[in-house]
Amino acid sequence: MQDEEIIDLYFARNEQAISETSKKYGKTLTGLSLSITGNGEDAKECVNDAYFDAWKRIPPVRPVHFLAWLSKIVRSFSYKILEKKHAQKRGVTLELTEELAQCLKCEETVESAVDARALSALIDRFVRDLDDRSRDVFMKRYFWSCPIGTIEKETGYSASKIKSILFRARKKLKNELIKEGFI
Amino acid sequence: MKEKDLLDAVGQVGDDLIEQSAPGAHEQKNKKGRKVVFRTLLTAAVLLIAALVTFSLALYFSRAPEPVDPPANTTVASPLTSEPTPTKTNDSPQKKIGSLGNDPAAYSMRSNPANTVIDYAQHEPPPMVFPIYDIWQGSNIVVKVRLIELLPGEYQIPGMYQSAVLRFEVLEAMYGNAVPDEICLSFLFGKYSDPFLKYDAFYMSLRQICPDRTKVFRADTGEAVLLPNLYTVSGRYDGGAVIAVKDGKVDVSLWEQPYWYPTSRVTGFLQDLQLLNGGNASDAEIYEALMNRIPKDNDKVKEREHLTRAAFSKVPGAEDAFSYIDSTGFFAASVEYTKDGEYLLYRRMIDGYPTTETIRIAKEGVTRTEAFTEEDMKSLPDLTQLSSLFDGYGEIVHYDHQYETERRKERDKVSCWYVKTDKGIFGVSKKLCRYVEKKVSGSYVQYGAQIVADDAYWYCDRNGNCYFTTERDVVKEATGSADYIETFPYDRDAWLYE
Repeated sequence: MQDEEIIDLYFARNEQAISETSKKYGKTLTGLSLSITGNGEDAKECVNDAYFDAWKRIPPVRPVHFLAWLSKIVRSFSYKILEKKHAQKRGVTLELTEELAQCLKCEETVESAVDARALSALIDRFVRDLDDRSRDVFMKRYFWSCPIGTIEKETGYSASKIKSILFRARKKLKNELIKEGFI
Repeated sequence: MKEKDLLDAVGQVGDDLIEQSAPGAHEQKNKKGRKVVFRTLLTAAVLLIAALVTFSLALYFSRAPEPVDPPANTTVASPLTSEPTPTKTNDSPQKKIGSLGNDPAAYSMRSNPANTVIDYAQHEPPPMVFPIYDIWQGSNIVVKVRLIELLPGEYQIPGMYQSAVLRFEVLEAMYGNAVPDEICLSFLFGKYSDPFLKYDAFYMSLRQICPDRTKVFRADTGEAVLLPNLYTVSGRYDGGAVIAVKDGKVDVSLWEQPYWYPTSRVTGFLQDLQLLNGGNASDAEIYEALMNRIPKDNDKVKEREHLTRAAFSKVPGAEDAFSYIDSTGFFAASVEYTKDGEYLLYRRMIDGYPTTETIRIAKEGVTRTEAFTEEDMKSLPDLTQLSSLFDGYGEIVHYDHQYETERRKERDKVSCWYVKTDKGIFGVSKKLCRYVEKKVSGSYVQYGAQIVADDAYWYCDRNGNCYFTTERDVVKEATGSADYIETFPYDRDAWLYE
């Protein structure tokens, strides 16, 4: 079923909307949440909460990119559940955090309140400026929280190549962050 | 800055980037790619073999035959020629498609307009997207109506969306019990409902929001208004089940409003209308088509209702619960999904307001919250008065994200509900407080409302003591209920999706 048709079901308050969403994107969204929470039950809960949230928000919202819209909700819920449970960062989340911490290592780092909007804008611009290959790998790793092995399977690149792409991207990102005064 | 800030920021990149990189998208592409490569190799192999066979045969037959003495009493056949044998290449699928394109018969079928005209006199009236009944939405009617007026302002209907309200005189009740002489219609497109003024009459399939009256709030003034007989449009699309009539004929221009949501300009619905007498149906023809359709649709939805309830009928206590639901006030119903399976949830509504009385029917049993008794009904807090306490609570600059220049001050959404807990009966009224601005990103501009969901609550007990707070936890503690308190995690600095 096309996204538009599924969204129409939400607009019609037809409960089939949820099952169609689950059928089409359940696996992807659960995978995303599982990578973040590292716990199957939490992942299921986040995804179910996301379906419910979608049910509440559509209408009036009509997402243009339905998968992206859902995945943002799932991602948000997944990080919230981590925080809520004071859970230690698990699995891929820990790896991601450590990797991103490399972007922030700077001798003269000053802890300051971050302008979240400006940072989002910078990241968006940065990702768009990456070449296709790097962009795909970067997004898979840091948005979709995919383990290296999964990216390997998906892209056909070797693990070392993926790590190298990510390393260069992080280095570039760090330079951007310094240039824009974030660190 | 912390690592989490970065992870959060990555979570806010453009939707297009997210979808392009979704796991599986690549895999599908690769699979597709592999399929193409495999097919290409297979085709090449077949062609190669065919060419080799042809070449071998040609070579074999082109050689002069060894002179053989024929047996006695036989005749010699004429020699085989070396004329090329047709190969697979000439038969390739591509060639076939190409040749179809040049097929005069195929061409004439596609281009001859006569072939696209269907004689509707030979067919039953085509099916129309005109639902008659919806199990989950209470009583329904099909009516022919005339517009009396568009009520000023936009209205927030508890638990629903902000919409315009139109008042109609009922010219004819085509389906439904106790159809009133006048009805109000909640219509999603708010200020864009002017097109209704152009038409003489409308056929509508409607579902009632509440049995008799519904309290709504004017979005611009915050005033609470009691609307009698408030209905909304049934159907796949908001606005889908409305047929406009002008000068005795169906007029589909109602659906061609550029500022309505695209799906509301219901393509399928328009096609249905246009199919009927070639899009030129008279008022009488539409009436007849609808009257033919109503019994069929009604049977279908009754069957659906029966099946849905039947699926849960063996649950201990379900029959009693259904009986209570059918005989007591108005319950809004929904099907909820959890990781453990699905269940039916019925919620008691009073004057259009949701209450904390619910009946949950799941495979493992029936769960009820405390019911509102007759005694409770006599002493409910006045939600109208409660919501009016918000009047002095400031206005919000609302940036319309579709029309960036059209910034306007706007009162925000107010919702109310009745809460019954061990601590008593409360009315709780909530107001969502702030909306802000657009997002500008990189080389392109994306308008997206950043919604900062600060809630403000007034709550009153049955004795008329009212309290104000912006803290959800205070409301929860005071009333002993978390029902209807926004549970979505909110953050002053967070981007909320779109």
